[in-house]
Amino acid sequence: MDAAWSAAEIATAVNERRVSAEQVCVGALERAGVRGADCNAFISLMTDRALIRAREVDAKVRSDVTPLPLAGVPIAIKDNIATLFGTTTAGSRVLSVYRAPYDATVIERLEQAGVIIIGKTNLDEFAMGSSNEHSAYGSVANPWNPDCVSGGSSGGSAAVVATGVVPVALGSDTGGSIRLPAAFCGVAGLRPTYGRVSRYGLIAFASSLDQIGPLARSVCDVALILSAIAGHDPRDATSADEVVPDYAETLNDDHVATRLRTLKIGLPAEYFNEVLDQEVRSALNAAIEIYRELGVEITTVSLPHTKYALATYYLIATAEASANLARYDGVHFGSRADGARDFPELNAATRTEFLGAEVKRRIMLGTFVLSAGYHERYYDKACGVRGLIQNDFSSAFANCDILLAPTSPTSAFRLGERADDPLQMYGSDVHTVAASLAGLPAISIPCGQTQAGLPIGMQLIGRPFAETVLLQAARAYERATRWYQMQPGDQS
Amino acid sequence: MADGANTIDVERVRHLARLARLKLTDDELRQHAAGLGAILEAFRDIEQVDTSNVTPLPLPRGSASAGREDVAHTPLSHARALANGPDTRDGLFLVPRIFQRSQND
Repeated sequence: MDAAWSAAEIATAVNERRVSAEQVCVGALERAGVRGADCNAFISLMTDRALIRAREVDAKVRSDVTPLPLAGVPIAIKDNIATLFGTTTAGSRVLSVYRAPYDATVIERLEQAGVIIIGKTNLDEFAMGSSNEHSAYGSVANPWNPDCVSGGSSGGSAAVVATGVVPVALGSDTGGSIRLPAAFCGVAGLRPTYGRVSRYGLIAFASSLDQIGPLARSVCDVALILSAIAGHDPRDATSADEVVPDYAETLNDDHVATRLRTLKIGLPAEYFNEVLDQEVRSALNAAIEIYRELGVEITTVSLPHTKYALATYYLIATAEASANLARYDGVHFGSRADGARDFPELNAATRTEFLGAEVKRRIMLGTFVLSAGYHERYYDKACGVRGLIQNDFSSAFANCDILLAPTSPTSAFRLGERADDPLQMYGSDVHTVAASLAGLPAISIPCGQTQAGLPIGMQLIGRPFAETVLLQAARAYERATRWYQMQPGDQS
Repeated sequence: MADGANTIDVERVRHLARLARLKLTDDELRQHAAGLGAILEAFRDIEQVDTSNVTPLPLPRGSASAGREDVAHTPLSHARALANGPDTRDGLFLVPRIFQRSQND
C-alpha cells in the first residue's frame, strides 16, 4: 500500500476487498518503526493488537454487506486519550504504567467505524506546551527539519501524519494544541466546537477548553474522522445534543461551489499586526488572493480584545489545571513515591518526583490565580474578559461567515530556542487561544512554505457548530493549491 | 492580601507550594517567585479591562451542561477501579497513616 493513500481511499479499497486491512496495517506499522521513530513521534505502538484488529475488520468486510465507513484506516491516537489496551501516559512520568480502565468515547466510535489504532503519540506532558519539548518521553522532531520543533502539544500526531505513517490521527486542543503542530508540520488540523466531540476519556488539562479533534493530510479526511467522532455523549455533561452532518458528503464539488457563491471571509485586523513574520504574512496574502479569485467576498473585521486573549487563556487554563491535576496524589492510580512516612508527605513526594517542570509551573500559577485574595483579581477578571472576547467574535460574525488568520506568527522554531523562556513559549499560542476561549471551531491548513522549507499554516475560525462551512472553505482552498500534497523530502 | 504590584515573594511561593502539594527547594522557591512574577507582570494589562457590563464566562457561552437522567447504571467494577492502585489490600487503597499518634497515646 502506498503511503500517500488517503483515509477515504483506504476505506473504499478495503470495503471493495481490493486490499486487506491487514496489508494496510502492516505498511503503517513498518513506516511507524522507521519514520515515526526518526521523529520520536510515538510513545507506544500497538503492533500485535493492531494486526488482530485488522484481521477482524477483514473478516467483517467479508461477512457484512454494510460497508464500514473507516474500514481498515490506520490511525494514531494522542496519548492523553484513554484506551483500554496498552498504556495511556499523557506524556507524564506519573502515568508511565497507567492502564486506562475504559475506552474514551472517540475510541469506541472510531473502532466501530473500522479504524485500526496503530499506536499512541507523543505530546507535551498533560498537553501543556507549544513545542512538544515538555514530554517526559523526549521532544518530537519536526519532519521537515529535525532541528526544529514539531509544535505542541499534539506534536506526535502531526508528525506521523506529515510523514505519511498514517493518513489521520487524533489530537486534543486546549489553546491551540491541534492547530499549532498542524501548522508547523504542514498538515490539516481541526479544533471542533466546544461540545461537538465527547471529552469522555480525554485526560483533563483545562475542562472548559479541552476538545478532541482530527489531524489529516487532506480536509476530506478531517471531515471523515469528524463525522465518526462527533455527536452527543451522555457520559460528557458538556457534550452538545446537536445533529451531526455527514461532513465528508458536504465536501463534494457541488456543495463547495454553492458555498463559495455566498461565502464572506473576515480578516481580523488585530491578527495581522507587527508580530507577524513577513513570510507568514506573504503566504496569507497569497491565500486571500486565491479566495478572491474563487469569487469569495473579503472584508476586514475587528476583534478589539485580542491583545488580552493570551493572558486570559493562561490564567483560566492554569487555574483549571491546578484543580484537575490534584488527582495525581499517589493514591488511586499512577506512580507513587517510595518511603513517605505519612499521607501528606506521600502526596507531595509523589507529585514532586513524577511531575515535570512546566506542569509544576502551571500548577503553581493556577494555584495562585485561585488563592484567597487573588481569585477575584485574576480568575474572575479573566472570565469577564473571556465574555468580551466571545462578544467580539459574535459581532464579527454579524459581518462575515468565517475568519481567516495566521495559525501562529512564525513557522516552526528551533528546538531549545524558547525552552527557557515560558513567556516566549506562551507567545506561540497568541493566534489560537481566542477561538478556544470562545469555544469556536477552527482549522489550520497548510498555505505555503518559508525560504528555509518549513510549512506555514492558515487558520479559519467559524461560528459555533459551523464546521461544515469551515471545512468547505478549507476544501475550496485546498483544491485550488498544492500545499497540502507536499511532504517532507519534496523539493518545493 | 492582594496588593498593587505583581510581585510574588518567596513566602507566598512557599504557601502556594504547600497548597499545591509540591516540595520545592529554596532555589526552586526563588526561581518560581521570579518566574511567576514575570508572568503576572506580562499579564497585568487585563486588570485595566472594564468587565463591569459583561457576564463572566467560566465556560463558553451556550455550552451544554446537562445532567444525566437519574437512573442507576453499572459503574466500573471494583476490581477494575482498583487495578491501577499503587498499593491495595482487601479491596481498598492502602496509604500511610493520615494522623500521627500524639505522645500520650
